[in-house]
Amino acid sequence: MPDETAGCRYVAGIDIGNSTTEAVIIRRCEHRYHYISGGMTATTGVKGTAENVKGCIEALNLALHDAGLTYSQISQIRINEAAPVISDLSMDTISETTVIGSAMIGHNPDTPGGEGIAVGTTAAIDRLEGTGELIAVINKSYPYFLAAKLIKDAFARGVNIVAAIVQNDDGVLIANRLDRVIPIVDEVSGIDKVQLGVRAAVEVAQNGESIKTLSNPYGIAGLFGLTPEETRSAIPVARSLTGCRSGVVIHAEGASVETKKIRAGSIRIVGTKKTVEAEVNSGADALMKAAAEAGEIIDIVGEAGTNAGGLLSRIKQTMSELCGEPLDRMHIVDMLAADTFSSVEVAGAIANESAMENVVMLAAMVRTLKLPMETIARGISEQTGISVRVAGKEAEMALKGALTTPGADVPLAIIDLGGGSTDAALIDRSGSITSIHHAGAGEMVTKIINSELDLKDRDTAELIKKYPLAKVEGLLYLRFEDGSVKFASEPLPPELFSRVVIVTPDGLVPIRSSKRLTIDKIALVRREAKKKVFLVNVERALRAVAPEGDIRSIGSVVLVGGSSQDFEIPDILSEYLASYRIAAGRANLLGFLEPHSAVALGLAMSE
Amino acid sequence: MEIDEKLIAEVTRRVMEAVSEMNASAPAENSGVAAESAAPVLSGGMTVTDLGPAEEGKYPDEVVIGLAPAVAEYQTQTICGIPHSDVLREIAAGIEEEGLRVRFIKVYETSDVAFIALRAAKLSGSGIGVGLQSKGTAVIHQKDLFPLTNLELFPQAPVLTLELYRKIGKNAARYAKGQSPVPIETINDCMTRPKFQAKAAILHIKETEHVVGGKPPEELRIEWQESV
Repeated sequence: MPDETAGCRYVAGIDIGNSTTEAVIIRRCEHRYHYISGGMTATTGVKGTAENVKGCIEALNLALHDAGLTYSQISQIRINEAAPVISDLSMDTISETTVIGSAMIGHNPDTPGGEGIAVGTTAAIDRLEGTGELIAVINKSYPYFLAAKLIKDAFARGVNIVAAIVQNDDGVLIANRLDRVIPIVDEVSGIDKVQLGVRAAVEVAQNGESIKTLSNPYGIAGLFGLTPEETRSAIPVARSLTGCRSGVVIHAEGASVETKKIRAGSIRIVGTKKTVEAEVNSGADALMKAAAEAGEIIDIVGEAGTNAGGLLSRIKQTMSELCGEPLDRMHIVDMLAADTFSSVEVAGAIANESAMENVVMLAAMVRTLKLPMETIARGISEQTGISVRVAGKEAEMALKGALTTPGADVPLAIIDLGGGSTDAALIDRSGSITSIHHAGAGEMVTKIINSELDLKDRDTAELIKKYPLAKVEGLLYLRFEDGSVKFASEPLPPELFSRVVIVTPDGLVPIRSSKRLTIDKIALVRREAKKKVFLVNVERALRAVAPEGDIRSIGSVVLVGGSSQDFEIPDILSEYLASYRIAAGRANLLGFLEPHSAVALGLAMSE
Repeated sequence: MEIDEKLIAEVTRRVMEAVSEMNASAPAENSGVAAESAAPVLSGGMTVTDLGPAEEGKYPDEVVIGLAPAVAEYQTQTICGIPHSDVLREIAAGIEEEGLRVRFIKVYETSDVAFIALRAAKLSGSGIGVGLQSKGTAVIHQKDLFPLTNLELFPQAPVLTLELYRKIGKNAARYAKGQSPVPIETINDCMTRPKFQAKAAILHIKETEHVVGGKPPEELRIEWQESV
C-alpha cells in the first residue's frame, strides 16, 4: 500500500563478534519495522580491528542478496561499540605421580586372563620350582602356548602357581589353556623391571567390575601383613589402582608410589575492595572465592618463577601481541578457574600406566584501550557509500533485540553465551541498563573436553561440544545417546562401522581414540564441562547485574549468543535457574529469528 | 634430477632401517629365513582337517577366517617367507585373546581376497570375517558391506609381520564385539611394489590355478603342534 511505503527506509545493523559477523536488514516505517533479511559470515581478523571491514561487507552483501536490494537503497548502517575486552585460556598440571622401583602395575589391559586374587613370590617362567606359592613372570620370548605348557608341567610336578604376570597380550590365551583358574595380568611392557623372588599380589576382576582388594590400602595391608605405618605408604598405590580391572602390587624393598602436588605458586588478585592472595593448588573453588572477595578486579599477578606466574604472563603476552599494546598496559580484569584433569604418563611406570593428574584451567579477560570502531565505520562507508554510525553498546543492543522475543518484558536480563566471554545485561522498569563481561565460555568448554578425554584434537573436541553422539551399531542403523534408533536409507560408510560418531549437520564424524571412550563417558564429560563453565559464569553474571546482588529479583532471563544455540546448554541453565524461580530460555527474536542475531537486530532497530 | 635420486635413496635407507629395527625387536628365536622376512619360527607346523561344507554360524561370538584356495595346501608361506601356520595361529590368537571363537573356511570359488573375506563374513555368526591369501594379503570384512569395500585392508603383504597378524585378529574380534577399535597402523613402503610385483603376480596366478568354480566353501579344523 502506497501510504505504508511512504516514509519507509531500509536500515542495516552489523554485529562484529569474536567469531562471527552478522548483518540484519529491516525496513522502518515511522514506528513500525519489518525484518527483511540477514547474513552471517566468519569475523575477519581480531574483533575490533580494521580487518573486520571485509567480514562486515561480506555479511552485508549476503543479506542484500537475499533481499534483492542494492547499496543505494540502504539509508544507514549501524555497527556495535564492542566492549574493549578480550579473553584467553591457559592450563597447567598441579599434581604428579611417580613410581619408585617396581611397586605396582596398575593398568587396565583390555583382556586380562582368569580372575581372583592371589599372593605369592615372583619367579621366572623357566624356574618354576619350590614349595611356596609362586607367581609366574613370563617375558615375551615365551609364546602363549609354551608358557601355558610350562605352567601345566609345573602344576603336574606339584608346584603351586597362583598367578601370572605376562609381557605379551596373552592373558586370555594362557588362561584358556590351563585347567585351574588363576589371575593373569598381561601387557606389562616393562616386565624386566619386575623383581624376581619378592612377594607380590595379583588381582583380576570379572568383566565390568573393578578390583577390590588391591585398590584398598587395608586390603594391601592384610595381604602383606603391613604395619600401620607401612599401610599409610600404601595409600598412593591403592589410589592409583582404583577403577582398574586388574592390578599387581609388588612388595619390594624401597619400592613406592608417590602422588605429590607440584607447587603451582600463588596469584595475587588486586581488587577494588582488597587485595587477595590465593594458592593455585587449593583448586578452582578457592580461587573463585578469592576473586569474589576482591570485589571488582583491577589486575591479577602470578608469583614469579612458578607455574601460576607463567600461566598469567602467557595470557598477557598473547593479548598484548593481539592488540598491539605494550605488555605493562595489559591488566586482567576477570578470570574463571575450573578444575579438570588430563592424562599424563606416570614416571617410572612399567606398563605404560598413566594417571589422571589434576589440572587448573584459567580463562582471563584483559581490558584494552577503546577499540577503533570509528575506523571500521569509515572503512565500511568508503566501500559501500552508505553512511555508517557506531550506534551503541553491545549489551544494550542485545537487550533491545532480545526484547522482541514474544513474552519477554522489562525487567529483563540477557546472558550472552559467547565463545570467549559470558556477558550479562539487565534492564529495569525505568529503562536503565547494567552490564558485565566475564571470562570463560564456549572455547573453555572445548578445551576441558579435549583435555579430559585426552583427544589431543581441538576440532574433534569442538564437534563433541556442539553435537549429539550416536553409535553405529550396524551398517544400516545407528543408536543415539538417548537410546533412540535411526535407520539409514543408504548403507553407512564402512569406516563408521562400530564407532561412536558425532551427528553433525554435515554428516557423521567418527571419534577415533585409542582410549576406550564409550558414548556415556563422552556425554558425561561434555555435560560436566558445560556445567563447570556456564553454571559458574551465569551465576556470577546474574549476581553482578541483579539489584543488590539478589538473583531472585530478576524475573526472566533470555539467552543469546552462539552457545545459546547449543543443543543442551539452555536446558542445563533453565533447570539450574528454575531453583531461583527465574524463567529462562533462549531468545526467539521477533518470534522467528535465531538468538545469535540479537545484537544486529537491536542495532538496526535503535533510534 | 639429482636431488630426487638422493631423496629416494634416503627414503629407502630409512625405511630399511625401520624394517630392520622391527625385525630386531621381534622375539628372540629369529630364524634365518629370507633377509626381508621378519618371521620368528614359532612352531613346527599344523594339521588341517577338512570337515565338509561350511555352514552359516549361529552364534555372535565367532569370527570366521576365510582362506584362499592355495593357503596351507599348495603354498606354505607368505610372499616374504612367514609360514602360513604361524600367520593363522597369530590371527586366531588375536581373536581368542579378545574372548571370541575362531572358525576356518576354505573358499574355492575365487582367489580375490575381498570376495573371500566377504564370504567368511557372511558365514560368520558375528558378521565379521577375515580373508587371507597365500601371499599374505589380508582384509577384515563385514557381511553387509559391498565386496570391494572393507573395514580394514592390508594390501602390502611384504610389510606384514606376525605381530600385525595378531592385531588383525584382535581388531576383527573387537568389531565383532561392537567395540570401536583404532584401525591398525602399517608400514607403507612404496618400494614393495617394484620389488615384489613379479613374485606377487606369480603367487596370485598360482592361487588362481586352484580356484574351483561353483564349489562351496569347506569348513576346516586346524590344530597346531604346540611345542617348539
